[in-house]
Amino acid sequence: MRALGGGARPPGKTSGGPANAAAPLLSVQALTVAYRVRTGLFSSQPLHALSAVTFNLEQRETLGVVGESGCGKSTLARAVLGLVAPASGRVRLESEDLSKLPPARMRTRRRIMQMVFQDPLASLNPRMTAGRIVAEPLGVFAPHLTPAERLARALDMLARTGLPQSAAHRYPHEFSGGQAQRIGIARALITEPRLLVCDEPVSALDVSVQAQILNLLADLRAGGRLAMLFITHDLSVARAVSDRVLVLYLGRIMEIAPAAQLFAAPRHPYTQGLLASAPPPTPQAARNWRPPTLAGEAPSPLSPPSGCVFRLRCRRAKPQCAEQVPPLETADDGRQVACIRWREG
Amino acid sequence: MWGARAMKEDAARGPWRRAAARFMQSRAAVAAAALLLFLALAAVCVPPLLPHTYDDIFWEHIKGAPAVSADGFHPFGFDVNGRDLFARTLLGLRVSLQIALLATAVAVAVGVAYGAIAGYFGGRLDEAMMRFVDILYALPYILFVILLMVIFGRHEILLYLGIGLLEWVTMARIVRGQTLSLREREFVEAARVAGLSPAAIIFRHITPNLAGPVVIYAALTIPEIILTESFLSYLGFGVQEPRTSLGTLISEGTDNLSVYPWILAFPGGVLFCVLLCMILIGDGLRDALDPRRRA
Amino acid sequence: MTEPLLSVRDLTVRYDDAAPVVDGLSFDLFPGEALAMVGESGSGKSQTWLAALGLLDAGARADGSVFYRGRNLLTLARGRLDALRGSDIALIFQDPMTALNPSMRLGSQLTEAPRRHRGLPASEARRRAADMLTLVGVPDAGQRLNAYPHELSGGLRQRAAFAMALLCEPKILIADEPTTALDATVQAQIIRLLADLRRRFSLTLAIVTHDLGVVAGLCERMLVMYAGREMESGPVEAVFAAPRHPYTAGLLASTPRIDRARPGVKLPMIPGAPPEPGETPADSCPFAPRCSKRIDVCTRQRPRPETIAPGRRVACHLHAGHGDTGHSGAAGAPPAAPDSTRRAWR
Repeated sequence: MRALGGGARPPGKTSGGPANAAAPLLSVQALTVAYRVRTGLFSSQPLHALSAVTFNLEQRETLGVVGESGCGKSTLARAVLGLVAPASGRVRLESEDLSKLPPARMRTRRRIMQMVFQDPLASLNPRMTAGRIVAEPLGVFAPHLTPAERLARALDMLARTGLPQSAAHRYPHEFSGGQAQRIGIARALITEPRLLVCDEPVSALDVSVQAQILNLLADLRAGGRLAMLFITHDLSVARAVSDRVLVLYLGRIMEIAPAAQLFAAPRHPYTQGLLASAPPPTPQAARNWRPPTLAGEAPSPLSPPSGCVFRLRCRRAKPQCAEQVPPLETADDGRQVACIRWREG
Repeated sequence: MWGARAMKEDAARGPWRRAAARFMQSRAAVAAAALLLFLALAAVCVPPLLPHTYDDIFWEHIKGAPAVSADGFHPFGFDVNGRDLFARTLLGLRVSLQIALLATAVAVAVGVAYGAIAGYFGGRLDEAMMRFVDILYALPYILFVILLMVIFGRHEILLYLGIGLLEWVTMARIVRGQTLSLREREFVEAARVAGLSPAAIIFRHITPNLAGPVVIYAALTIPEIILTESFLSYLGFGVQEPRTSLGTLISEGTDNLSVYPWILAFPGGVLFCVLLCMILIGDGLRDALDPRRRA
Repeated sequence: MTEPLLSVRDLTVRYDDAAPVVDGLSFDLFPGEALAMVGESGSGKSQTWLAALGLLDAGARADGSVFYRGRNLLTLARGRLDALRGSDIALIFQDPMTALNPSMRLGSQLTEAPRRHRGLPASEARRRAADMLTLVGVPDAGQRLNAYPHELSGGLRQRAAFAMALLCEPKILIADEPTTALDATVQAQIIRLLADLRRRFSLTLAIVTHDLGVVAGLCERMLVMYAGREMESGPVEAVFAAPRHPYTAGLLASTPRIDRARPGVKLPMIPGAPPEPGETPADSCPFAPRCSKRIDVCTRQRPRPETIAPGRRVACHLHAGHGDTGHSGAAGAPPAAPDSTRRAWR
């Protein structure tokens, strides 16, 4: 089965790039993901983890995805990678509709999109050495290589992520969280992907180690043509890594904007509340910190409110907000907001 | 959590070697393993050294008491047909151990493959596969084996397979449960992202991580299999004359218990030793492979 | 200076005979203040408080002393310590579910301690519980008393845990990572709630956290721990403005900040990883292997916390002997940001 996929696409496609230079690397259109939740013996109910999510990711761009737990961030990562099947909508990678690919072909297409996981230790098979873990994807994407060549490449990649050669022969439990995350990154990069989906890659790490991993990702990005979909709940981390930021709430996009603009002048009331909730970075800032905190917590995604999903917590909600789902509008400056009142300031 | 230091000490070793090291720390399990190995070796190596075979009949010694003298070496005495009980017990031990190993191998192979496939794919396939297991559970399994024997004749191999095919159901359930939780682990997701096919994921990533529970359960299954075989032999559906198994020997022994106790005592003692060893080894393996569960 | 409410001297916590996880820690907790214990995983910050309250796991041993109102908590009889924990000192955990019994209704849990310790009648205890729930911001408090913990959201559970702690009218509230498990918007609510409760009940707060934002937002004094030892302590503003220990400086500098865009600019970082408990030799600075300012003596002699300015202590050989050389921003720590950057987008 592997020969079929490997033959269909010769590995190491390095020339050319995308068919159309103007096309985005990743284009997500009206993506909806629903899980069925059992509510009784014979009844079940759909839970919309993502509703009509639409966005593009350009070549070499880093798009930060922020939101609270249950907003669909992780589902987005998994849907983009084809790990969960969407209920509707499309994910196009380099203009190719991934949902239409047969499974074997999809597996070979995975070469250009890889993932870094939240829990670095859990993402490594405890019964494989670091060298085997990193080399394994080559068995799928570069089957013409001999085992020795694969290991050589794995060693090279481990070195690029800042691990010594000796690491290759050790097992995951022998590494610290930061080192394990480097192995996870090496495994993702060994296929020379164009898109790296990072699902909270630093949230399980110690504070003093987070910066190392963020810097490593920045280095890798600077050195190649890697685009990143960077999922995080930490706004400071999102600010440090993102070119643009996408704000999710209850499975819907609230706002997309370039990072500097979003953090300087958020337009959606939810983004405003979220940013104001972030603890102050310094005691000086804290002295005047009276966060206009959002009241309450996000409602259950099983019974989202009608119309705008945020309206129950929104201090600017009006009766119209309950009537229809606000569309994601593109403003003159290219920023996108899903709020009928954002123009009012 | 604070065992970090201990973990450091056995760093630079794989999970298997760490498990082996932990197993070696358990005195009871190591002693049991040594005793079992000794018994197994005896069962294989000693019979050729004896001057008589398991089916030589000593007419003058029917139901004779244990006797070791210049005339002959009969430490366990003689059975109801005047055959040397020592040789027969060794044969019975060998047959019982063979059944245990073969039937367990069948149970593990079928159970792991079945459970891992059902658990990994989930959904309707899982439902269907597991309902089938439920149905098998509901069948009176002894009748099932007896039926098999009646239809296909009484081959020993068939007996091994039959018992193995009974035991795989529980194994499949255990493996499926473990697979369901392994499937959600990030390293399995990582393998999917790495483009591995479902077969490669199941065999390279899921089954090696099932090893702990599978080995533990297999070690605890062996005594059960030996007992099942003994039971079937007791009913007369087991190993056929003149060959024998521990169960058959015990069955013969119970008939003569009050007058000729050695006919039961020796095979029974050996069976008891084997079962105790297996249980101790199973405990040791559980502690070694799954240290978190150790109380 | 006022008398400390709680005074910890030379506290050492060990598991079995392994190297200590808290190693010779001494500090005071003054009435009315909010002290932050800052550190990464394994730094011993939680173990310190568990030891002080006699809540260590079996197999752990605490030496030294923890004085509260003239009594050493480490030598206090089990029953009296339990009573003290129910009345004077309350503890809140990261996961509120650890404090709440999943199979008991909120009402019975919240009224249990007041009824036992203060002998309140059931109806009175229930009324007080409802009032307290309202006070900590639980809506429909009266009905919530009939709810089980799992029926509440994460934020409400943490509030209920606060209510349970406060019903005993403690003097000291120790909160171990009280916001870590919560969403960003709920974190802010809890921080604000803690600040309000502190004023209303004149509480003394001890916050255990790794989140520098919580420190800045809630506390006046901070104690930075690393590998079970005190690295630096002092007023939060002073430490943030001019960290004296290379570890503190590195920690502050390497934390991404929401108010500062760094397009293409890398974060300053500390190399390596925090040591496992017990990895540090007794006669060395635990941070030495990762420290960019390391000098010879760092691996030969253990630095002791020394007072370098009123209320400030640093355990670093670079500061040994000389009081206040302006060693600000040891590892290139950023100067404090002006408030204006934050207000711009509020």
